[in-house]
Amino acid sequence: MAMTAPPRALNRGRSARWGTGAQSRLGVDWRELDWIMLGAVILITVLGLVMVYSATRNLVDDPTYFVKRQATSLVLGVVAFLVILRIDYRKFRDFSLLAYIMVIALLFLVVSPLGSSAKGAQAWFALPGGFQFQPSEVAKFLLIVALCGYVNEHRGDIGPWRITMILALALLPIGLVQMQPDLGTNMVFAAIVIGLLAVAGAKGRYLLVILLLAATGVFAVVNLGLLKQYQIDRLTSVINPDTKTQTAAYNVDQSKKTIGAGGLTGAGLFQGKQTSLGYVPEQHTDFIYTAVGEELGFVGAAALLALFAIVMWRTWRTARLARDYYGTLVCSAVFAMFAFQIFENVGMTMGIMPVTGIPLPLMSYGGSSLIATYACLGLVANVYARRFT
Amino acid sequence: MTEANSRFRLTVVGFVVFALFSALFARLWFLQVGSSTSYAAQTEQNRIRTIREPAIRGSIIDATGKVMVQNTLVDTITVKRGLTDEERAITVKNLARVLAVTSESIDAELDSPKYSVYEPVPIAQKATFETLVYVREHPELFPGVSAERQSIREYPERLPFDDSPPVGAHLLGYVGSINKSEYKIQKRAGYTPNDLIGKQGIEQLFESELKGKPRERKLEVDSRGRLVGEAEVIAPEPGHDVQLTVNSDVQRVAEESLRDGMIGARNFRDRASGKTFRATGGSVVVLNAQNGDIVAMASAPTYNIGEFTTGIPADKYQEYVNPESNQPLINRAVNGLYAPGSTFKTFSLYSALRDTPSTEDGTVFDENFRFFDRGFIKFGATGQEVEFQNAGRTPNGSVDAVRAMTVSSDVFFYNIGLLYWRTWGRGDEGNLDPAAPVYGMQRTAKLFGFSKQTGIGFPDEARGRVPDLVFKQAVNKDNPDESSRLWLPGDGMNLAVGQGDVLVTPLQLAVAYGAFANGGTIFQPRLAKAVYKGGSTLGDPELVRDLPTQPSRKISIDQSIIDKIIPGLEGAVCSEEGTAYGAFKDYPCGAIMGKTGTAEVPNKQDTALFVGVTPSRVDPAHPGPQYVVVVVVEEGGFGGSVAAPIARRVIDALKGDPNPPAVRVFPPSTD
Repeated sequence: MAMTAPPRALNRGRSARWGTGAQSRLGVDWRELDWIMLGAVILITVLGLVMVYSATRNLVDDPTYFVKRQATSLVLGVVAFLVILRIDYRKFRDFSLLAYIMVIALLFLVVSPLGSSAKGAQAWFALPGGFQFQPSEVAKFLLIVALCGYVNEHRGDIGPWRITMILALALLPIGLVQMQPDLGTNMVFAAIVIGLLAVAGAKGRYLLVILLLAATGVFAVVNLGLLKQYQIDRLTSVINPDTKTQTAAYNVDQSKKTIGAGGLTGAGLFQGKQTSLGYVPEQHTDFIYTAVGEELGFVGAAALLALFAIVMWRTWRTARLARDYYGTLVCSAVFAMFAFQIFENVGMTMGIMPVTGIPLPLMSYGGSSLIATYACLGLVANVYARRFT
Repeated sequence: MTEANSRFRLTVVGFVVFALFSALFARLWFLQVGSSTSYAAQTEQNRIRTIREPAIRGSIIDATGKVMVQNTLVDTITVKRGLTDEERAITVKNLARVLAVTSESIDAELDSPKYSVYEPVPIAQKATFETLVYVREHPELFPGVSAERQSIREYPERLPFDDSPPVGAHLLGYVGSINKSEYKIQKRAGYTPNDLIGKQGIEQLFESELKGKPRERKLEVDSRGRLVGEAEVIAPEPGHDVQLTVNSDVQRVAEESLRDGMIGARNFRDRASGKTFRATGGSVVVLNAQNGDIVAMASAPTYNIGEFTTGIPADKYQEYVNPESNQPLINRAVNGLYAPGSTFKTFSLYSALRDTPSTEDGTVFDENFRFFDRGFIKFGATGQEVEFQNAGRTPNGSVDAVRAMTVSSDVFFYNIGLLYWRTWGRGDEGNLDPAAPVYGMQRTAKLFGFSKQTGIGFPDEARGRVPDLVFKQAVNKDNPDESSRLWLPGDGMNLAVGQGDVLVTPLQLAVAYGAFANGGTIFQPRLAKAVYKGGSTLGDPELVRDLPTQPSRKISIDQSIIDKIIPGLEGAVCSEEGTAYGAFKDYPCGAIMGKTGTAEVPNKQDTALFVGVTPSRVDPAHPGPQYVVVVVVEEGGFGGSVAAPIARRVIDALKGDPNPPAVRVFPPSTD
């Protein structure tokens, strides 16, 4: 670090105009934060809490049980955001390997006897207080850090060999996640890798081959008995939605009806019949968008999509404005992850994408997802705030 | 890799994501705005469970206000057929619990052969209302079970027969579970497959008045089928009460008399076969000729509608449809087709007096067709003559238009038929034009409504038949005998006496005689005259509306011809040589006119008929009812000996005696 002290006058001037407290606590000048994106994030988060309340108030005796837990996770998420924001993102390059080791370790441990299973997948660690920790959510953040570090190190060298290496690095966690099994998370991993490679400059034909490989992989997983029947049902229910005997098809059917019932302006907050009577399974988690659709109608559901679009736009813009290549990569990876999760999640609730267990960022009930999302947003905010330094 | 390349690629990725988001917006618009109403309806279907309680069906009262049909409530639990083994096990277990009986007893009922395999099995007829509500609110515990507070029909007016059946079986009809074809038709009117619907008679004809609107409770249930609340209750509207034109006393007397007359007829022997008459069925229709109101309508053999109130028991139904029972479910007044026999002569004579077939060749002596009845008539080429006879070849001597009716001379009418042929038929044997002069009798028959539905309203009312050459050619199209496709003298001669291919329903006869008596108005018969607010007729009647007199049409007739015929018809009942004199001899002349008929039926004993009109004329200055009474007894013998005595007792009832002297049939004499 340069030992030359900055001119006192300039320093004082800044302090006098903006104060220095904010900068010292945040690690960046708060003026340099992307308030358009953060504003959208705050609105989505608040709406998420409200909709989780709406969807869960009749599930258990205490109507605020779920929303209180979600708020707790939110506090942890904001803490994660602030911690990550404080550290110059370029320092994360030095932790690429560590991040990768953590990914492998977490995903290995969760399929070991230490993990616990629910709903047919061994994907959680049970924590005291009835909380659960889902490492595959945090793994998304860590994998971004790990892969971006690796790609950054080999910039300008994204040929077949390097691509193979990157795929190999990605396949290890993908294999571990498949042991849970959790196809949704793996599809998000794939989206991150493909997005990263696309921006990093992999040739179009290689990207095409990778896409085909990914599609073949999903096909193989579905058809070679690597999935549980319920997962196959979910995936095929979009293709064959009228076989209502399958619970997944029922799920899609109810989901579409619930969104459709909202109409232009919706039933009104907390007035959704489908929502309050629990007709949509997993509504507070993966199908939270249906509650928005029914209660707030097209106006609300489209506004939510628009807010997500703002977040995407600002992330994309940050990738372009980034001071360095590493910043661009990090933002691109987060962009690819969000884009895929939002499109897949919202798409499945409207019956145009297969049902896979992917949460809607910032909206779905689930602490691990919320914290990981805030961590990723912290990365983007970090890159943005340091775009001139 | 250059910075610019990376930015370009980022732009491409951005476009891809932009496209994906646009797709989400489009899909969202389609789901919520493009097709939202159907989804909204579907989600309502999801969570709203509608429970319908049928409205109280309207009562049916007679013209004087006497109740003929009312309701009584029973709380019934039924189990439908076609359950899977699991469903049945669940149902039996839970029903046994709520009804506090053993599962075995419910299984025994379900397997009992006494219930039709197509109809739901009644398990409990007197369940408590709480049980009903419980069953209906927990359909998951009772698959295939229907629990209903049923209002079933009750009939205060009874016949004095063995099992006291209700008065007016065919007239009133019954109510039963809607069947597939009825449901198809009535679905739009809001019927459900579990509804009851009127099946015959008034119950069918006035279904829309009597039914009312069911009470609908829309219950809201959550995803696990648990009740969360009552979304909406649509109040029931009781069905309207319907007041008939029928007089229940006359109706009862008609049914009693028909039965007693038939029993009496079975004591007599048929001269042709030497066997006793079988008297297998019959009908009585009483119509007010002045306004078309039906006063009574009976059909025999009859059936017991009181047995049908909670669904037709399978064994009873089998008995009723068994051919041995001679079709008791059929209403012969509107669906029975009979050769009218001599009762048709009124219309033959009307035709002859109007058309005046030539009398030049000397077979008749004057414009009244005076003729010497030797008991038979021959015609045809010399050596190949065909002989047509009176019954028993009885000679009647000199007959004219009046006396021929009174003594019912067949020979006189054979001659009329022959005259038609001699005047216009020769050389016109193949004329298919119904307007050809030779078909004058057919034109009269059609004018008076034969071969058309009367329009009483029953969907399956028979049309009957007035034979013409078109018909004859259709029937004989494969007959090697070419002459079978010509209109021959014998055809007209048969038609003139109501034999051959002419077929009428008792109701058509009543309407036609009505028009004859009232100056030429064909009424569409009316069964009901007013609709009242449901239940109000049991206390203080509250009129909803009067039912209009049915449309009628005036036919163009020549009253002077009618006036010539009436004395002959009056003579038939009040002249000592009248064919119905025996039954009516203590009635003053002019009070009644009538005509007997004894129709020959191939392979069966003769049909006995009588049509009476009382009074025979109505003075326009003193209007009042004029009743036409039609009696038909299948295989009953002579009209004068069986049908006229039945009509006599009905006319006694019409004169105000609710319990007239018993029917007194006579041994067959002549016709």
